Order: sequence, then structure tokens, then C-alpha cells
Amino acid sequence: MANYVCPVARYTKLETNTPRGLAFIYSLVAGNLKKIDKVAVERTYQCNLCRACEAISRDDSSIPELILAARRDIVEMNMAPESVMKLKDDICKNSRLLDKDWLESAVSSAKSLPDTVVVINYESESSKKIFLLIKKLLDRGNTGCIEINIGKHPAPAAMLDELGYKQLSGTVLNNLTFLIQNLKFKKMVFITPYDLELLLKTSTVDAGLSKLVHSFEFCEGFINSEKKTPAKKNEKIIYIDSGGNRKSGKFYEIPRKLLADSAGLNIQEMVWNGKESACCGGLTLQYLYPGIFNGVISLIYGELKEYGSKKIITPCPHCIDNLKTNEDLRNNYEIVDLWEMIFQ
Amino acid sequence: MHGFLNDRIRIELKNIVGEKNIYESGFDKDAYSVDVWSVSRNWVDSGLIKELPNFVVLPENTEQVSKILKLANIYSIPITPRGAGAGGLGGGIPFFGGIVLDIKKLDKIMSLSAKSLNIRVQVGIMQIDLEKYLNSKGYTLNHLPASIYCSTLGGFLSTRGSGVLSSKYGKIEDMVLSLEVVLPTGEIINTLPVPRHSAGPGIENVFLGAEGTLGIITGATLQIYYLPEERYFSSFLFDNLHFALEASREVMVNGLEPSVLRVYDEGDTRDVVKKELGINIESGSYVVISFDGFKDIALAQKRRAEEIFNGYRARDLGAKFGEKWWENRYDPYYPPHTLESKKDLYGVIDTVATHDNIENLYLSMKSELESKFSEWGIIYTAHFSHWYKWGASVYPRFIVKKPPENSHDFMELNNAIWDCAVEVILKNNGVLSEHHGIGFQLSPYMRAQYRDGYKVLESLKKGLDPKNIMNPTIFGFDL
Repeated sequence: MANYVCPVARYTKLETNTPRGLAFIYSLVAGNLKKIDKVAVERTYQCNLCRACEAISRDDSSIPELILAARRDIVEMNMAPESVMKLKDDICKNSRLLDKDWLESAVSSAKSLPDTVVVINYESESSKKIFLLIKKLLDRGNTGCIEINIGKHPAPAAMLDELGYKQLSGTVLNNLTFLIQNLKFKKMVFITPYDLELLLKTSTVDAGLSKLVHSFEFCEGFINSEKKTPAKKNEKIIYIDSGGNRKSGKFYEIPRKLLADSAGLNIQEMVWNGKESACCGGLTLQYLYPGIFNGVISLIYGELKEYGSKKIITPCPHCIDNLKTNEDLRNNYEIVDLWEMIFQ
Repeated sequence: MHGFLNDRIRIELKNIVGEKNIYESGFDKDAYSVDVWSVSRNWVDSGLIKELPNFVVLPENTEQVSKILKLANIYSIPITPRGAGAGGLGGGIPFFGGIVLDIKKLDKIMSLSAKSLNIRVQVGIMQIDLEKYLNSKGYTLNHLPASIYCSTLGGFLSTRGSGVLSSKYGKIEDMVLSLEVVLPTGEIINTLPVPRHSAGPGIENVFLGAEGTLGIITGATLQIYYLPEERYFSSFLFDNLHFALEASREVMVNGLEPSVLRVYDEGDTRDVVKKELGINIESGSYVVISFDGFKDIALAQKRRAEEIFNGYRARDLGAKFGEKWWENRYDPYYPPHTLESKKDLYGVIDTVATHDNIENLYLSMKSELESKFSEWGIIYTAHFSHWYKWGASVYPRFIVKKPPENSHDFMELNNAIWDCAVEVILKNNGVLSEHHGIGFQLSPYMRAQYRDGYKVLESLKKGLDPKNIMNPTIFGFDL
């Protein structure tokens, strides 16, 4: 009965797009009452894996894990839709973590980095901005900062895993582990949390894992060390939670604290926020089902219209890029990254 | 409906709602062939029913609903209106095939009057969306049922639903000012703008609780309230259920207005309360009571209620357990509690009667079910959660943990339990359902419930839905 938090079902309204509906499909298949068909495949890939249903679940059941298992089966049965295969190919082609030559040169060109923070970044305007802000700050404290740009996609391991290509996802994670083991860095900051989460969940490699941090945590640590009194701006902003890291819950409080304490801002909460926030499915849905993706964005826009403020702050680089795909949002709102706001 | 006719209907539906709003694949239709009724799930899991409807259609506005019903009339196609599928009595299952008309795209908030305190909405809106919207503006509907997260407003209107605050604010029908309805023959009507008048009987009552048999409610204007200044909770332990019921009756007949008044029988006190709230209680009857509104008024009412409870030697457990219940008030509806994913046979026999009858009704039903179905190890517990000046509702639940494996035997046992329960209800001047509706499960008992009055229902059905296309299985109409 977690249907109400599912952004896809809130848009399409279709029972088989809901967590309950998907669980129902899989129960028919598991009970040998039906075989997976084209529609079941479609519904399975229309989920944006935002994990809201899992985050609010009163027990340990996880519909997203069922969906991931179904996608692996679908890939194995060669039933994956063309759009899925196309995206998989694109990730393989444009992710440097799958490029052996690049990996070796990345390691050899930066062999000893004991005082350096390594920022794992990807090709996007907003994430580039975040990296430059981090670099600017670290340069003041004489800490080195280098960017490792892993290519077009923000989280290739998580994306391949989402699509059902477990083995390929594992290869990306292995290569990431190779980087961690061979770069002698102070900290490794991930601009987006997805591959970091997957790595922490699946890796058996201990070396260096404790040095890996999500950008929010890094940001919080840095601000705390500055101990500056915030300027009392009292400017009203709308804060949109990231769909990432739902289960841990720890990334809900940190940004709010930073915005209020460090930036002196007056936060307008969304009606649907925290673990219940609508997530546009920043990783794969936009490629697989752009119509549903745009529909979810329009839901977010519909809610934003209720509030007076025209300034949106979000910690999610995908949100920044994705919200701007909506013309009304792009034209009528200022969409600012959390980092940028705090550093201002 | 096969072949040419099926194709013909598809084309016509496509012209009305567009291709994107019609679904007819196997899995999509399967998902609309069940609701939370345990029998339906049992039959699907056994492979006995599948793909019941011919089409699942999601209209985007009232005009489209009207056109669909006109089309259905031409071809005599059964229509099953459906909200979010949270009903527990099979009311949303399209037993005769045809069209499932999913109302969830009718979800717009049309207007809010801060002066008259009302809101006009389309009824496919999820209740939680409506409540969150109102809360963000400082209001509430005060209709907060346990299924608020998984039901539409239309579902509540069509079953005359109750929320946990009903003892003060009433049931959903008490919040209705007016309705927009599409009649079975496709005409769109609006009921009078206010419900209290002497201009005839008030036709909104024809459609409230009609479960889509007499038309489809598409819009509603509802009374709203300011969020309360304060909510006070108390909880008490009585020596026995009789004392708890008597004390609660006194609270109501003396005109106090508790928003929450929940009396748990000894089984519920022992099993549910201990599990949900972590309170170690071996015997007695647990009561949660709340007053809300202006602080001083709510506090004065709370004190008078406590005086009444003290007269029955109730043990005051303080505010925190009541507050804990409030925080967790929606939890009991969530899996695994709903059992929808389990193999158990279960049901909720919510019933309402006057104060003269309610206790006897409960005791008789408990004794009858526990003795007649002892070989199945039936578990029967109850609470009394919706109170009136004239009576109360009892919310008994039965569970059979090891029901027959064969679906036919499963259904037979289910029906035998209900037959027994309904006999007790009718003998004790009770009414079958307080807020869950009738659905498929209770339809065979409607004639016995209404006796001669059933003719009125029948005449309404014949007049409004001459081809009997609207939810034809419901209420036992034989046209």
C-alpha cells in the first residue's frame, strides 16, 4: 500500500505502475500463472527506482529489489526493450571507468596524492560548477583537489545495475576499486551518491573505503570547521529533497541545517518531502520513458506552483539538470545547487 | 465481448479518452481483477480468475465519463467504477467484464473558499493528497481513515466512509455540501449547493454510499475545518469491556465531543495494543480518547470525560499512549497487517447499532463465531471506534490462519462465517456496514437488511440505470 509515494504511479495512475501492482505481476509469474510478456517488461522498466516505497515500508520488504531481480531475468531472457539495450551501449561507450587505458593513465598521472581530495565527477554543467566550488575552497586551505571525470553518465555502475546488467555493473565497481586502491588520496568525494552507495554495499575491499564521502557530508564537515556566523538573509527558498539515499535518511537533515545555519535562509518545505519526495528518476527513466519522466517533472512543478517563492534549492545535480527540461520551470524559477547557495 | 464488438468498443473508447488512457493487456487487466478482499486474491493466486475486464479506462474529465456511460448504455456494457482498489469486500471487481472505469485521473482541486470553508475537488484525488494540500494551507478535512494513503475521495464517498475523528466531525457524508454526478445514462447533474434545506429530500444521499450502482460521483464540494489549536489525548484501562462501553456511552449522550473515542475489547487490548504500543496489559479494556479544537474548550471537555471515566474506576494511563496511537494511527493498514499478501482468510465485519444493542450484538457475534468455527481456530477481536449520541459501531475482525487450500472450500468457509455474522447483526437490529460498504461480499444480504425498504432501492436502480450496467453485482439487484 505504498502506492501513494510512487511518483510514476502518481503520474500515470495505472495500477500496474504501482509498487502493489508490480508485486502482483511478479506473484503471478512466480506462481507460474503467467509468463513475463512485453507489457510486464514495460511496467518493470517504467519504475524509476526512486525507492520511496522501500523507504516508507513498515517492514523489510523491498519492491525495488524485486524489480531489479526481474530486470536481471529479463536481460537474461533477451527480452530487454530496445531502449534499454541502447542505453546500456551508450553507458559502455561513454563511461571512462570501462576504459582500461584511461584507468591506467588516471592512476599513473596522479600517483601520490596524500593531501589531495579527489572529486569523482561526470560531464554535466551543474556538477562541473560544484567541483569548481569545492576546488576554490580547498585551494584556500592549501589542500589539493583534482577532478576525476568518469564520463557522460553520473553513476555508470548504478545505471547498469538498474538496467539489469549486473555483471557489467560489477566490472565498473571493480575498476572503481582499482582507482581507490591505486590513488593515495586524502578523501574521495562523490558528486552523486549512487555508485558510492553501490560500492559500499557490495565491495569486499576495505582499503580506502572509509575515505569515501558523499558531497553533502563533505560540505557539512567543511562548513562546521569554518565556524562562521550566518548572515541573516531570511530569504524564502523552496527546498527539494534528493531521491537518493532515501533509506539512510541522513541526507535530509544535513542540507536543511546547512541552509538555515550557514546561509540564514527561510526554508519552504514541499508537501511531499523527505522520504516521500517525488523523484524524477535522474538515472535511467529519462532515457527509457521520456513521457513518464516529463510527467513526473510536471507533478513537481504542479506542487511548486503552490508556493510563493521562485527560488528552488536542491542538493541533487540531476534535479537541477532535469527540472530545467521543463520549460515553465526553466523560465519562471531560479534553480540553484545546494553547494552554490551555501558558498554564496 | 469478443471479436468485432470488442474492436468496435475499443475504437469508440479511443475516440473518447485517447489511446493512452485505454489498457487491455493481460497483466493490466489482472491487476484490476482484485482488491483487498481476501477471497479475490485467493482465487487469482489459484489461477481461477484472470483478466476479468475487457478494458481499463482512465477518463481525464467528467465529459469523458459521460460519453463512456452513454456508449456503455448503447451496447449494454457493464461498468465497474474504481478508485485506488483498497476496498475489502470486492466492490471494485468487474465480475461481468466490460469496462473498469478508473477515476484517478479526475484529481484536480477546483477551488477553495476561505470564507465559507469549503473545497471543490474532483473525486479521483487520493485522500492523502487532499489532506496534505489542505494542511499546507492551515486546514483539514478531518476525514482521516486508516486507509488515507491508499484510497481516493471517491471511494470514501461511494461507501460512506468514516475516519478516526468521526465521533466529532462525522462521516464523509456529513462533510458533503454538494456533488457532481454522471448518471448511468450519461447525463451530468449537480445536487443542490447546500445540504441542509427543505427543498425535497436532498438527492446527494442517493449517490453517497451507492458504490457506483446509481451513477458515478465525479466532483464534490466539501466542508473543511481549521487545523485545531490543540489536541489532547488520554488513555485508560477499564476492568472490563462493559464498563468501557458504558463510560463511553455516557460521554456521548452527555454531549461531550471527543474527536477520537476508541474502545478495544479484551482480545484487541491484549494482542493489538500490546503489539502496536508496547503496553503490557493482561486483561481489561483499553480506551483512547481525544478532544481537539480551542485549548480551553477541549480541556474542559477532556476533564468532564475523565470524571465520567473515573466513575467506572478506569485506570488513567496518561497522555503518551494516546499520543503514540495518534502517531501510529495509519500503521495497522500497512502490510503485513493488511494480510493481502498472506494466505489467511480474513474479514472485517464493521457494524453499527444503537447503544441498546451494540454490546449484545458484539457478544453474540463473538460467541457464535468462536463456537461454530472453533475447528478452524478462528480468531475474533474487535474495537468500537466510531461513536454517535445514539449508538456506536463495532469493528470486529476475524482471521483463519489455516484456511482450506482449495479455493472453492476457502470461499465456502468465508461465506459460512459471514452468514453467521450477518444473522447475528440482523437479529440485534444492527446494520451490516458502518463504513466499508457492501461490495460483492455483502450484496446477498441487502434484501434481508432493508426488508420492504429494498423496493425503494430497486426502484431507484430501475429508474436511473434501466440497463443495469453500473456495478451490476452490487446490492443484489435482480433486474
